[in-house]
Amino acid sequence: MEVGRTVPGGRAETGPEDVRIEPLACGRDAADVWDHAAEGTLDAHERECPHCRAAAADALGLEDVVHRMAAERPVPPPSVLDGVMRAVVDTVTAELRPQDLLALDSPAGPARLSRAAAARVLRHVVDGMDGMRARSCRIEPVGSGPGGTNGADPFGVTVAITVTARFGVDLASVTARVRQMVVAAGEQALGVPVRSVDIAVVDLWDVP
Amino acid sequence: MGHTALVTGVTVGHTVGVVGGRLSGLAGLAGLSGGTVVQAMRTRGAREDVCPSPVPPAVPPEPGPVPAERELDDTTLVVRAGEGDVRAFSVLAQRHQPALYRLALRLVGNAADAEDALQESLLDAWRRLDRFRGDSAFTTWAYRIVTNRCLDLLRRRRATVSVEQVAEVAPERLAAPEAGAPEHAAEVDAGLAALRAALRTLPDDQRACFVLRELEGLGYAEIAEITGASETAVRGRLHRARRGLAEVMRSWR
Repeated sequence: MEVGRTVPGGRAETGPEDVRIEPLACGRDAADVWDHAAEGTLDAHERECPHCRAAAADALGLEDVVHRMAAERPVPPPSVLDGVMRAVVDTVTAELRPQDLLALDSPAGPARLSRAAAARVLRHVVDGMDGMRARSCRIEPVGSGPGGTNGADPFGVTVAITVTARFGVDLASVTARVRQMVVAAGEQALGVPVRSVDIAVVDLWDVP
Repeated sequence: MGHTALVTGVTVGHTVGVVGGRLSGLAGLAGLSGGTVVQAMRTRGAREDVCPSPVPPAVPPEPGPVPAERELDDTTLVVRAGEGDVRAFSVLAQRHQPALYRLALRLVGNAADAEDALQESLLDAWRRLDRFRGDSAFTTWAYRIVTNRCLDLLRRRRATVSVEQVAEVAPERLAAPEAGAPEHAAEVDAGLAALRAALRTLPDDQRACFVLRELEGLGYAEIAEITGASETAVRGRLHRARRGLAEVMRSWR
């Protein structure tokens, strides 16, 4: 049995010259014969020729046990995903940068809201509308910028949102409603005036 | 950050219910920043409601009229996760981890390494999602990350083993020093056990092609994308793998 070779990096690999497929003695491509055997599409020659039949026998001999292995459904323990999500949250926390935060206009003093959390709120509003799903939601501060509120400068955000819609919904009226809802949610739920909303319908989906 | 209040999780009345338990881990930020973390914000007219930190969400997550994220398509979840939506990523990871785990398990040959490879791969995916351009399917992209991770792991292990134990370990055992690990100790299907052992004897790149094609059912083009090889090379490696396995299994029968 061949074992390939170990390249300087250490990984056992098949060399470039080894990926060539030697034709069978009858001239047929061995991999084709194997595929045909597996798919049950052997032609007349392949069913009769001894070389092809030997190759097909190998394919069929392996088929059962390979199917049994393919049917196995090992699952990872829950600790794997738990560990991943803990690390993700830690990463988000550790890597939160000033530009990831939106300044909230608060009478009690400056408050900041993570953009990701704000985007979640706005996406959720869109998801709640019949036949609509939010995809991208980007929120940019305008006016006095992310730093805060210095009096006369207008304070607020612009929102660029992409949505997908169920096939058949009235896009004109529904996008108008998205706009209204995003403005309302921005101002009521987040306390951030929404200066403009860009909406792009990027995909349509069908009810299965 | 001084006395600035930081809102990282928001729960709003009955109209908007967001931020699952996952984000509650952000409470730890209070200790880092010295600011106030607002774990829950309920807003109706009032702009904010700052609570001392850390506190449990004022409104428990409840199933609302909004469709669950579990029902969203991959593309939507990928876009959201790429913009920092932890919950979307969690759904995506939950959805695809069984297939990714199967791949890892069959490439590295034991559960402990497969779990490590999966965990590292998912974290890697989270870090790189904002650069995922969507010109291939998310699954292809994720399979690629897992495959590379596993091949690296095998290569590192082989290098370590070759220094420390080269005289004691037979070459065919290098790919799986934990062959006969407990999870397969009670294998009742002798054919499966033989195939598992035979798979370990294949060169890594051949094993990857075989697993992706015969066990995961992928096409040559997708396997080429995942392994970074040409379709011709994939076809050649797959054929070598099949022949090698057939030979071993023939003697087993």
